[in-house]
Amino acid sequence: MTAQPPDDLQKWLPKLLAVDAADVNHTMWEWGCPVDRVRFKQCHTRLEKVVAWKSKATGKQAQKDKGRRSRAVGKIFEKLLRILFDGRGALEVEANVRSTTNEIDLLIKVNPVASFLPVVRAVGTHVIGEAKCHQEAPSSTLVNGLVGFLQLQNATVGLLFVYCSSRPLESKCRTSIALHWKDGFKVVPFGRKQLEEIRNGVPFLKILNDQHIDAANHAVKLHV
Amino acid sequence: MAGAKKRAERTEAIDALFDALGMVEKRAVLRALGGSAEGETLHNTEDVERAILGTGRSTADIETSLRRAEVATPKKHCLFGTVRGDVHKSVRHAVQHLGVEMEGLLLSYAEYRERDAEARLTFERKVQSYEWVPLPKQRGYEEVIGKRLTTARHAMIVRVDVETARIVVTYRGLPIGDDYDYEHASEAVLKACGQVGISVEALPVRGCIMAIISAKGRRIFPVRGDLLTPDGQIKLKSRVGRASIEQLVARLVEGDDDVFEETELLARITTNIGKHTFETLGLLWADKKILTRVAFWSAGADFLFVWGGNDPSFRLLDSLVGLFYELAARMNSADFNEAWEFISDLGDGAIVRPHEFRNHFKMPPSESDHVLLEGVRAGLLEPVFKLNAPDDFLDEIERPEWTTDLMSLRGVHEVDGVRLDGSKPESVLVAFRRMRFDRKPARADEASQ
Repeated sequence: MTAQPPDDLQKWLPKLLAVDAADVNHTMWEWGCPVDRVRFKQCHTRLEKVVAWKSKATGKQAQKDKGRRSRAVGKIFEKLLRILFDGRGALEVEANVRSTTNEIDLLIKVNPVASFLPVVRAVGTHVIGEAKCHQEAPSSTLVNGLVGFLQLQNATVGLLFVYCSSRPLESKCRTSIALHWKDGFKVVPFGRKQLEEIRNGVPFLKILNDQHIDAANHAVKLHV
Repeated sequence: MAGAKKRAERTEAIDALFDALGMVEKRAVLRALGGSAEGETLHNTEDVERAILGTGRSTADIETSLRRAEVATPKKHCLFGTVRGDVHKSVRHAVQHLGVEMEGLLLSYAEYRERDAEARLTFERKVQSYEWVPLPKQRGYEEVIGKRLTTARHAMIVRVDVETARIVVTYRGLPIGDDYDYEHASEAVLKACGQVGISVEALPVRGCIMAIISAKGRRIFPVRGDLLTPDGQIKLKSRVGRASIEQLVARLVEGDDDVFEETELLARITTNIGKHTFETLGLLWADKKILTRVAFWSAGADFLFVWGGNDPSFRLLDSLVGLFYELAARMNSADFNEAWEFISDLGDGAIVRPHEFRNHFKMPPSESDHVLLEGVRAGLLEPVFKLNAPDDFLDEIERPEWTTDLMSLRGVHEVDGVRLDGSKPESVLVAFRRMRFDRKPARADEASQ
């Protein structure tokens, strides 16, 4: 008789995720990449406050304040994203590849536990995270730029984090994602809507999984 | 004006399709036609429709986009079945019949999406409808209204999943008061499917539902029922979220004398209910808060979904009804029925270790694991976890029991220099705990104490 593998999470986690029972899935996804929600909420609140802040000064001082705010937003946004990958789960930040005022690039390591999770199973050893802290909506130019960067870093999956006001992706941007997907480069957008959902308790990996499916299907409802 | 886009004509077909779609679907059509930025600022449905016609696209393109949006989401009514034979061949043959009329229906849309392994078809017909309109006042009458006869378009969408051979027929309800026989219409669509090469077998829903109800899990509850007995009909309607129909009946025999033990009473009620036939049944999916009325027809069972706050999607539909398909596929197996009955009979809180379950039943290990997973899906079982360590280690770290709190096992645990990392999947064992919902709900006066 063939020996059965032990009845541990290694065997049962992918099977339980496939059952699609909301409470069971929630537990599995959360375990796969836990997020410190207290820290996340504090950081997210701070980010919202700084983004909403408007200088009362005029002229040169106003320009200086705008620059300071921009730098502060960049730093807090980077901190917020790192909290997503701090939980020793499936995805962990290995290094900052590049950090400027409004652009952060993260090299995200895919840990062995990820091999049991559908969304990250086939991505290889690394994923690139690119974060844009400005108010502009994601565009096809942004997607093309990230794909170029993926090629340099020998990665196939890129997480595009944006912090514009929440909106559905424009048709051109979705088309760009779809075309690159066909060539094997997968860009998954992640924005304010998704960060709000994490703040409200939805597991990070669940949101990533859903965005991944919508991006793969070129879905009109792909939203950030 | 230079640069102004040509406005497409609002044909009768486009008009009817606008009528069939909600605001969300129309906005999606506008985005798909390239009018995305504009669409988000429009809050009025007429403005969105005008914007769609003003995208500069041809009438044919707009009509196709509207039809594509119509088939993209399930409607309130759904009928489920499986396709017999070579599904791939059937759907490829079916889509070639676009524009053909049969059984009083026109096949107005047909698409086979190879990437999604899915076919979507629309069968439509014109039906007699009416509207009440005010008429000129007459002396002696406070108000005069007239019944104006009109025609309405009724579309029935057929979606076939080629990989699983599952088929769903979905359609909107018509306004209240219309004399339209949905059962007859559904039979016509299934016959039309047969004529275009898609042979459908209805899902044996009744048996699947009764198997779940009698097991008294915590995910799917019967909350409405029209029960036919030899002596008459009983209409049951429990308060949603508060009680199932069995618990409602239990209220009628409760007393201070405790003649019947509570779980035994509910078991007897469930058994007796199972001896009779439901004409219609209302089910509540507790975790998703979706209510469904099921009407049993000869062609199959019609599900009327009340989506609540959920966005209707075929993925959501699959997650709800997938369980019935799985049960239907296995209910003819004596081994499966034995295993299912074993789980059903377990007391609340009983722990099932997968290897013990496997050894108990004469089925391949993959099959017995599947039964456990169907039990989870039906809400009869929940997964529980324990660290993979000897009992004395677990006692030392005060985690001897099975728990649903998987997150609490994360991290490194150490006893006398022996370390166990609970973040590794091989460090956590999985078992299943029976969940029963067979207690009477507290009365309103008890609940407030």
